[in-house]
Amino acid sequence: MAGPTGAPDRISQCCYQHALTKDAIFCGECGKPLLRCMAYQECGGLVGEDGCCSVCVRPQLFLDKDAVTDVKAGGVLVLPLVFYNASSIARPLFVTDVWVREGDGPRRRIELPWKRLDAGGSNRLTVQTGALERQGRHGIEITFAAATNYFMREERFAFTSSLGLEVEQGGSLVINQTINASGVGSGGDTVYAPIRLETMADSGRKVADTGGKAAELGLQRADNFEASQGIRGYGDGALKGSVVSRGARIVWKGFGDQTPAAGPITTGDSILAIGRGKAVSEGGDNHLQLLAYGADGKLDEQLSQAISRRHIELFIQSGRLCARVTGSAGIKIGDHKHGADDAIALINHGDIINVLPKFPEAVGLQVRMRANHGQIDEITITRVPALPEANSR
Amino acid sequence: MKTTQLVVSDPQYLAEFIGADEIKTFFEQRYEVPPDHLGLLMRNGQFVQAYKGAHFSVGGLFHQLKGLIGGSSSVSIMIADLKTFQHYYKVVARTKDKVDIDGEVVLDLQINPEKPQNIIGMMEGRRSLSKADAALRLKSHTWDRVFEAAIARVNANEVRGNKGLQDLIQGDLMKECERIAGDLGLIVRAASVSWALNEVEKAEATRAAAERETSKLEFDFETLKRDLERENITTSVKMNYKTGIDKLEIENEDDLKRVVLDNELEFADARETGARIAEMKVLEHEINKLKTERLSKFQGELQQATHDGVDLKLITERRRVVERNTESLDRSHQLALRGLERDYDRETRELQRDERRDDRDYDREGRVLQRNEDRGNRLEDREDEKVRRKEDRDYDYETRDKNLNIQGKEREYGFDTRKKEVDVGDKEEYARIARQREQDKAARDKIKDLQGLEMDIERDRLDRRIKEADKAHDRDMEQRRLEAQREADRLVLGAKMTPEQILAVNAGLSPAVAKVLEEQAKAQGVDKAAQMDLMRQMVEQANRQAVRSEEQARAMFQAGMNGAVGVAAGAGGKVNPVLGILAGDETVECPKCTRVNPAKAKFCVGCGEQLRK
Repeated sequence: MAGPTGAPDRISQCCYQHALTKDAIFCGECGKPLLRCMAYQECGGLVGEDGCCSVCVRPQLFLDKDAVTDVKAGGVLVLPLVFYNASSIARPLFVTDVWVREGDGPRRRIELPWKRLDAGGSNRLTVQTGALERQGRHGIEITFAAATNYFMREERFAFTSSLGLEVEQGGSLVINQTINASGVGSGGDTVYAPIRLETMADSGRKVADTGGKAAELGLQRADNFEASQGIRGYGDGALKGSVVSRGARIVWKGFGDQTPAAGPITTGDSILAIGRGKAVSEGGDNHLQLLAYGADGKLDEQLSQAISRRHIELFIQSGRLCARVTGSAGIKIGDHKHGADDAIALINHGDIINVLPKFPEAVGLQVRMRANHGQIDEITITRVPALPEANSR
Repeated sequence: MKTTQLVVSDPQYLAEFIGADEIKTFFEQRYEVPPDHLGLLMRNGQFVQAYKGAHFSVGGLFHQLKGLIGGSSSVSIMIADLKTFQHYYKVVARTKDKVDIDGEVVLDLQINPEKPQNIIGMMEGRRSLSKADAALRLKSHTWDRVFEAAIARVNANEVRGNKGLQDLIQGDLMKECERIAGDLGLIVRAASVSWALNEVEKAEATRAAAERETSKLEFDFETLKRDLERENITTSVKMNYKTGIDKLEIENEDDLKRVVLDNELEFADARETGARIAEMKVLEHEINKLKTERLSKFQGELQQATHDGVDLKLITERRRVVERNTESLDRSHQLALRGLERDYDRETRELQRDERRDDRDYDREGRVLQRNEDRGNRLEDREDEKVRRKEDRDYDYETRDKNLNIQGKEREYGFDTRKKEVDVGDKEEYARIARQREQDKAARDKIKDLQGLEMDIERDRLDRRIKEADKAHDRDMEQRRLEAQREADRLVLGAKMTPEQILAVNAGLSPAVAKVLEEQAKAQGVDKAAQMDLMRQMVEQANRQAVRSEEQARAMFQAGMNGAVGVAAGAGGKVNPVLGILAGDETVECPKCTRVNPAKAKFCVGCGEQLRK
């Protein structure tokens, strides 16, 4: 299996071809917007609405060889799992949490002795089930959260896999024990020692038929789980459980003649830079030039000087709209000031970003989001106070 | 005041008496007995006291002696040497195998420090006792009891290095010495015997020397033999006949003898050839060694690569997954096909049922028509019969009534003529009925043909639909299989590719072309970012030019280089050799944002405006 289903390789080849043009925003063949990975400079990958780059994020989960998947009723089972990072560009993954769910029961969080999973490397984790009392087929659901980092940014995803266990009738307590003899993170050999203690006739231990190799467990993106657990999207507020789509349309209002065209974030680094510097269309680096104007509509040069050339950067991270403060004056959202010490700010629906904390009335950006079925596909950023359409520098 | 040591006058002495006259001097003197000597004070031949390491002055002693000397007592001092001394003597003994062997006994003797006065027993009225005298007292007693008894237990060739024998001799010696001289104040500290070479040992040594000599000769012989063999291997002797082959065409025995006699054999030393063969063997050995080393290194690297997670096992696993997916798709295809076949069979059965029903209806209608026709025929026949009877009656009546007329008419026209007319009418009626039947049958066949035609058309339509569905399914299957294969290939390649190559492969280029582009990017890019940027431009250009093979990629760069040289020669400017070929591309301007796009672009890459349909 190539990787988690539901995430990768839904990007057309034509999009990859046109993304090679550095300033291309749309695919010349199919007309879709080109959504680049945050690490596009390294991986050259594109992402879909779910924001998952198939080049950077390619985890695989295996059930190690000789693992026992059948057990007598009343017994417990130890599952030796192997997490593998199949990323081909040497990008590590950080597995932060693992949950196990037996049947319809609640999810149980497993404490992880390791976190980092280097590309091409594998880490092992042993998961023990509870006592399987009833005869028949039991389902085990293994879910884990993985993160990929690029500079200060981080994208988190959750993947899940299901495993069927056969519980047979009869026998006293049976413990199929697997002993992991390797040290943590050492990557050494693992010795499995299945031990069966039973008083009735032995029907023979059934080892998962994997041909002497570790069996790969199919992974599925757990998008609902991501939203409900706050791994992606907003965990509280009015938009609790909603996830900002990577292709969310950003609509700009109140910027007069400088109003940028509405559309998703299609820049090379998937960041929208806002500041006093010139916009890209005028030869600068910013997506939007932000200046302070007086009540009479004239440029307030003094206040404008307080805005840094590149003041804030807007980007979508783990299904949330975030702002990174790069300006020296910082920003203020509500009562909280974000500056050099607290550079990443989470932006919620209805927040007003005061660009100059000392002069909150001078320039502000009001953010409104529209969610449909738990997915935010439009974000409106309105300048407060708004500039008249005829206002030009 | 000077101190004088009292020691034995000769080192060979073990003990010695010193009389009072020797120490009686006019002046006062100080004497001492050193720690390794013992002074024994004797009065009137009786032992009084022993001094070890004593100091005394003549004065002090003088007063003590004065009384003694002044009296009638005789006083003397005996000095004894307490140090251990050695004594050697020869012994001859006979071994168990009746061989006389010589040995030299070494005895370490000492005066017993615990009972030094007992040494007086060995003086026997002499003024001094030598060490040899003391040792010789033991020799005669121990000769037979110790040496003969011990040696008689072993063979001649077993005496040398026999530690047990030495221990036995020493133990027996000590025991005998204690028995003989223990009360005389003499003890044995140690004893050992060193044996001279006996006859048996000499014979063994001679034999061993002879064997060594033989071994050496054999070794020399083997060495020489190997040299000869080596020389033989590397030397080949070639015999050349001076006489030509044609000369060997002899005619009789005399000619043969002459040829044999006249024939001179020439031996050519082919040692050089042999040396070359040996060198070739050495070279071959070196080659094999290098090959083995390279193979081991490669296997090691392969193993290391496998340990690093690259990925043969993983790739095999993925290939298995792809194959499994293909199998499952095949199964689903078979299921879908069987479903279609079932649908087709059901529809066919329905059509056949309809056809059979139509046939039954047709048969029923046919039977009804037949019955009607039969009934009509019967009715007509009955009517005809009625008519005939009526006519017969009428004829009878008329016959009776018009007998004369009939007879007259018969006579005039003839009865046969009238009968023929009646037959013609009947025939015409039968012909009309037969035509009607033929027409009905033709109508039935026509209806039947029409129904069959519709069924055939329906069947063809179903066949065509099934075939189309089957083809579509096959195409879908093939597409999926190709996608899975492409994905598997991409995975296999991706594990070994650099980000630049992945970029190019994702953009639809082949791995070989990606490798060429990466080489060029690395050759021209200053740093990593510049390389990636350049790589993007080159991949875009390669896609425009539909580069599919490595040769095409290299040709593209070659053309770029030529173009660059031409432009540089013409305009004097510098053109990027990679991007120089961009100049000739056809472009189109976006009507909305005025961005220049490739002519074949359907949408503007700047604003997404649709440029063409």
